Amino acid sequence: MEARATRVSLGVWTLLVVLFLWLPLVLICVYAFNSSNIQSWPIAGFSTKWFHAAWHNEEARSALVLSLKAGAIATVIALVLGTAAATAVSRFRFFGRDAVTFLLVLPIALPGVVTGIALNSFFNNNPVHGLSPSLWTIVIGHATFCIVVVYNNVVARLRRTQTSLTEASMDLGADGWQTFRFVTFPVISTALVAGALLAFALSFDEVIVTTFTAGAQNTLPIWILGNLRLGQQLPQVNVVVFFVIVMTVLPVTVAQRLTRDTGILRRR
Amino acid sequence: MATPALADSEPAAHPVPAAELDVRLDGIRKTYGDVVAVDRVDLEIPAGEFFTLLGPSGSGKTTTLRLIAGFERPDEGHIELAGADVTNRAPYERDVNTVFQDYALFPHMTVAENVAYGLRVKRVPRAERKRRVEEILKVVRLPELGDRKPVQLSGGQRQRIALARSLVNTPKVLLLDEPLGALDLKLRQEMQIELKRIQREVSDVGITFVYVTHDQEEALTMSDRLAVFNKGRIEQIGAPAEVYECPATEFVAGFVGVSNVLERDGKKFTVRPEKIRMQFDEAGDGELGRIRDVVYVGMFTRYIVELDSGGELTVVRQNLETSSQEALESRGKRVRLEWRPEHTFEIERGGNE
Repeated sequence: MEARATRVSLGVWTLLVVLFLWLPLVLICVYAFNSSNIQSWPIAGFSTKWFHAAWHNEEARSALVLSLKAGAIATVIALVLGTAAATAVSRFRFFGRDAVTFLLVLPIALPGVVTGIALNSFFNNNPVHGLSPSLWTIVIGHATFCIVVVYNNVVARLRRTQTSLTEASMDLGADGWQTFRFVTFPVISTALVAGALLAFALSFDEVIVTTFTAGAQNTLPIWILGNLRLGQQLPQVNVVVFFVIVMTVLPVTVAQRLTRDTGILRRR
Repeated sequence: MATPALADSEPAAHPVPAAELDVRLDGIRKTYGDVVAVDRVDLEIPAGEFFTLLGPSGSGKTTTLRLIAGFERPDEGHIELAGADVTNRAPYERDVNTVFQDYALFPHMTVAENVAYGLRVKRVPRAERKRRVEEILKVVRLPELGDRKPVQLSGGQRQRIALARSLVNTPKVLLLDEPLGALDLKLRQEMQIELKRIQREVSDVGITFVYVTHDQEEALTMSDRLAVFNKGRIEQIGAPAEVYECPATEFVAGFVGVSNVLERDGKKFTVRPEKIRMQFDEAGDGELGRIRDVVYVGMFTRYIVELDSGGELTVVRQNLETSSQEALESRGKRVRLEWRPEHTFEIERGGNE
C-alpha cells in the first residue's frame, strides 16, 4: 500500500514538474494560432493568418537567415576545434594538459554577460585585429561555448573507447589517415553529430553574448526580444517562437538518441 | 669457394645467420622518466619459434613486445626483423601483428570486417579478402560468426577473432600480449592447446610467435624457448626444461617453480622439490631437518622442511601409498633429505632477491 501511495504521489509530482516546464511553451504555441492581435485567454478564435504575416515579414526573415548562418558556421568551427582539442587531451600527455582542459570547459560556466562584455571590448579595439561587428563577431562569440559542447561529447566518447583500437589499426597496416577514417571517425561519429546538434541549438537561441557582439543586424532571438519590448507585431513573434521551439526540440531529441549506448562503446 | 671447409670447422659456435633470425634485439633500453622499463636487452629469435617473454608485472616484458611492434621507440639499441633494421619504422611499416590483451576488436565492424581489416588497408582484392577471411575463420574454428558484431561474442570467441585478425595477414612475427589473461582457468587451458594447434597449422608459412605471460606454467608448456624477465633485464634464456631444471639465478629459481635455494660453504645452489627424496630415518647421508608444514594438493603433497644446518626446502611427494591423513600427520616429524648431486645447480650470486 505504501509503495503504491509513493508511486502515485511521485507520478503526480513529476507531472507537476513537467507542466511547470512546458505550460508556458504550450501557451505561446496556442497564442500563435490566435485570430485576434490582443493576447487574452481563452483565445478569440483559431487562425493561421499570423503564420502568413510572419512568413512575409522581411525583418523576421533576415533575422532567421542570420541565425541559421551564424549557427551553422559556429557549429563547423566547434566541430573542427572541439574534436582536435578532445583528441589531444585524451590521447596525449603533455605539459599543462589539466590547465588546457580547465580553460576549454570554463567558457560554458562563465556568465554570458562576462563573455559578452569581454568580447565586446575586444572587438571594439579595432587596431588589433581589424574586425568590426558583423556576422563573424557573432560567430566567434557563439563558437566560444559551442566548442565546449562538441569537446565534452567527443572527450566522453573517447574516454569510453579503448586506446588499443588505434594501435590495433596501425598494427594491422593502416597509416594515420586510414586509422582516422576507418576506426577513430566511425567510433566518434555519433558523438560528433550529437555535439553538433547541441551546439547549433545553443547558438540558435543565444541572446546575451549576441547582444554584445552583433552590430546593426539582428539574429532571431534578438529580433524577438526587440519586438516584445516594443509591443509591436506580438502575434508574429508568437509564430516565430513556435517555429523556434520546433527547431530546437527536434535536434535535441535526435542528439539524445544518438548518445545512448549504441554498441560502439566499450562494455565492461 | 676456396675454403669451403672453413664453414664446417666450428658449426655450433656460429651465431644463427641474420637471415634465419626473425627477431633480433640489440642493446635495447627504454625509460619512462626515471623508470627504466627495459635495460639493455639482447634477444635473438629464429624463424618459426614459439618464444615466450616470462616475468612478473613491471618486469619489462610487455614493453619489449611493444618495442617490437613499434608502439614504442627505444632510447638505445636496434631492432631487426628478418635481417632489416626497423628501429625507426612505424607499426604499419613492420611485418608483425599483435594480439592485444583486451583484444581491441573494432566495435563498429562485423567479425568478418574486423578480420579483413589488414587486407583491406593493404588493398587486397575483395574476392581474395573474402576467401582468406573464410579460411582463417575455419582455422580458429568460428566459421559461422562472420556477420556478428564483437559485442555479441563471448570472451573466448573474441580471443579467437583477435587471433584470426592478426594471422590472416600471415605476418613474419605474431606478438601476443597476455592473450589469455582475461579468460577463466578452464578456457585458458583450452586456448593454450588451441594456440599450439594453430601455430602448427600455420607453420608451413612459418610464423614466429612471441608470447608475453606472467604465468610460468603457461610459459613452460607452450614455449620452444623462453626468456625470464626481471626489472627490465633478461635473467635467463633457454628451453623450458633448461630454465626449470637449471635456473641461472635465484630469481629464476623462485619465479619458475618453487624457490628452493640453500647456502652451504658460501655457495648458493638450488634443487627442485620433486628431485628430493624424503626419508623418515636419520641414519645416512643428506640433510637432517623437521617437517614444518604439510600442504595436501590431491595428486601430491608438498612438505616444507626446516633444515638443522639452516634454510628451508620444499619437497614434493606423489601420494602413491600415503593417504591424506598420513601426510597431514607427518607434520613435526624428523626427516632426512637426499638428492643426487647432479640435480643441484649453483646459482649466480648477485643483486637479485
